[in-house]
Amino acid sequence: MVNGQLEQALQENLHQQAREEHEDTTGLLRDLRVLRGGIVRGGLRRWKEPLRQAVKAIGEMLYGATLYDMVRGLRKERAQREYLFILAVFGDLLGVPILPPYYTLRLLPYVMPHIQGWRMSMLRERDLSDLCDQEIT
Amino acid sequence: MNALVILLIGIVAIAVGYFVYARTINAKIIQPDDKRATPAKMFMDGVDFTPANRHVLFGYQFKSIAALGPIIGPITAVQWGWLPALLWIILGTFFIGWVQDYSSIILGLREEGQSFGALSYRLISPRARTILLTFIYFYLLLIMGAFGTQVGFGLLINPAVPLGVLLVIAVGLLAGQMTYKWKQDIILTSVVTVILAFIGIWLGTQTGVKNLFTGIFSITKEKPTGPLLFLDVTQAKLIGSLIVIVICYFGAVLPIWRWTQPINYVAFWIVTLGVLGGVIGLLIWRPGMGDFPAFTGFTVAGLGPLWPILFVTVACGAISGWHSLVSSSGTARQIEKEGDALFVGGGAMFFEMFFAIMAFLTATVAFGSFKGYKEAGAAAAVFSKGLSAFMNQWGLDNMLGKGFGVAYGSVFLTLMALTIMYLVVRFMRVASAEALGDRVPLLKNTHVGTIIALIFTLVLIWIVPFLQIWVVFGAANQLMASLALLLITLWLKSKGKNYQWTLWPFAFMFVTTIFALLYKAYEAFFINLPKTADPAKYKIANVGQFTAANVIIGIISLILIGAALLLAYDGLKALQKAAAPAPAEAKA
Repeated sequence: MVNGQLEQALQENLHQQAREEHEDTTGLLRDLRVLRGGIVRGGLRRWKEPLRQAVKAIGEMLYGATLYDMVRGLRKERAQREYLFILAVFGDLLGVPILPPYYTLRLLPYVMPHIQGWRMSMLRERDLSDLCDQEIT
Repeated sequence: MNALVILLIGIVAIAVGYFVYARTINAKIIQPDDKRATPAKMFMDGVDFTPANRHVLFGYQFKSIAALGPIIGPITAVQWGWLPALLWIILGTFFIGWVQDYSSIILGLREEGQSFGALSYRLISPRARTILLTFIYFYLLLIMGAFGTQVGFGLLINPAVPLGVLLVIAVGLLAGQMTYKWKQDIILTSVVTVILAFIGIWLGTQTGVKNLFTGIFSITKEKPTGPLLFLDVTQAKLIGSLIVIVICYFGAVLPIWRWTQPINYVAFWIVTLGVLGGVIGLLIWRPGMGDFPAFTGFTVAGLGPLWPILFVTVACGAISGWHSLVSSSGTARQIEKEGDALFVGGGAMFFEMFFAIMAFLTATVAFGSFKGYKEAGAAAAVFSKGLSAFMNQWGLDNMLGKGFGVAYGSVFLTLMALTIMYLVVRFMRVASAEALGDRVPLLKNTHVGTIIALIFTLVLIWIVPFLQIWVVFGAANQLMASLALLLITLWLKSKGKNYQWTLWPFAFMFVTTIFALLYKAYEAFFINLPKTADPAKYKIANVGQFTAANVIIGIISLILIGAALLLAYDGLKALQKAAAPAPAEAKA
């Protein structure tokens, strides 16, 4: 009697184990099917974002090595024109009154955003070691 | 030793250096704070101080620091054997090179974007700024001599090269016209100009063109560079050096957007495609070093003893003072967040080390033997032929004709040299106008200043042999690097931070470069000059030139030594005075 119960319990245990393995296998197979079928969608999706960022980074590095210098040069050219204009308008800030106050006040709204940068650029101390990067024009 | 093993060693060294050593220093000592305003954000004038993305700045920093140094240096240094050259390229960058570049940026970031001149005035002494500027002037003069000799006396005397260079320059001017005046799309401009540049280089290799330049240079089998005209200058060398001078003249006087920038733009693509082609060829071929010796001996004829000369010969491939100037006066003013400094400064230097390893491989594996390397000629010729050998593994010469690879490599190097030479001449012009313009008003004239700088260059090119200029150039360069490290050490000490990681590199570089300059001065005055008493015995063709060359090198070496010792004296006094502040102020 006891042996029969033990045997039955053992059989049930074995069946339970087999069911669990079957479920595991089924689950694994399901995952594999998903993976195989969705390898472009599922697998690459994980790499899509890092790949996109890597391509973007390389593009930015190439930009930095090629066009960035030209862009800086253009910024500098534009700044020199703007500073000349600001000097004409607000030369009295540096002790060089050029235009009468009426005209400078009329132009004030347009020039205001650039005055701080202009003053700093005009008054910044420079020495020859600055030439090593960008003053050589 | 296989080339792939060397590449792998280099990659591992970069990975360990950047991800372990550099990141540890960054995190534990400098402790960057991304929330702190950098000078780019503080001042934001839209011109000098403008924040830029870290990847853009990486490309900008690499382009600014990479020139002929990491190519010519390693190729010359392998004369002591491949092992000492490789060790210095790797260990020099690992412990000193990236430290200098990165900490120069940090110094600029934390000191409101001030330049090295201003900082040396404040942190060392008032005369430190004058001494630094003297260094810079001599260093740039030596660059002109070194690069000018390689290009004018080495690359351009190959009849397949001059037309290619001139046409690439013309195409560069076209690129400028298309971009700035005709307002064409940049991708269209790039594609058109790069294709035209390739056609130009190809045209230069055609038989008719080569025969034309052979006739112009009066080249014969007995006289492969034409008849000797004066000193050591043959017809080909005279024409080559004058082509370089004329190109540099236009580069220095014309607006930067008209000549320098667009030519540099086209040149960048030639160089990048060349490097890519070389790497692909190397990976396909996977050559070994053959019988290239690991070590040839402590002393190399024409160069000198391994210590200190090897360490100044490799130059930018391991460490370079120029990088500290570019980092502090340019890059530091554009960094968006403090955390970007390591990637930009350290990363670019480690990438340059990789570039130097590629150049090292063109010398050690491309020819299959040490004899092949020695017979290839000057360093520039070694590189051109080596790069060509790599690119031919995927059939470049088959596609575009025999000799295209060598011509391409030569144009590659010429353009890399010229991109720096224009800027150097501009600097020399502006520096002489600033320094002496009040006393000599003529120097303020653009053309006069440029011509004077180019005359000095020609004197160096025509009189002094390349190896002598290169070693003194390397020493001046490394001395400037050691002075940058001194400045950084003083700053770290004044902020109460650990400064051992900059102090010992400074000490090593300073002692090595002083001894290198002492050796060159001793060699010039006490070994070479006495030989003029018996020129036949020592096979001295032109006693006047030999004497002048050694006197020039000796005097420049002594001036640099004197300036360096004065600066070091002031620096050590400042180091003793600098006291660590209270802990609350330490995180500055």
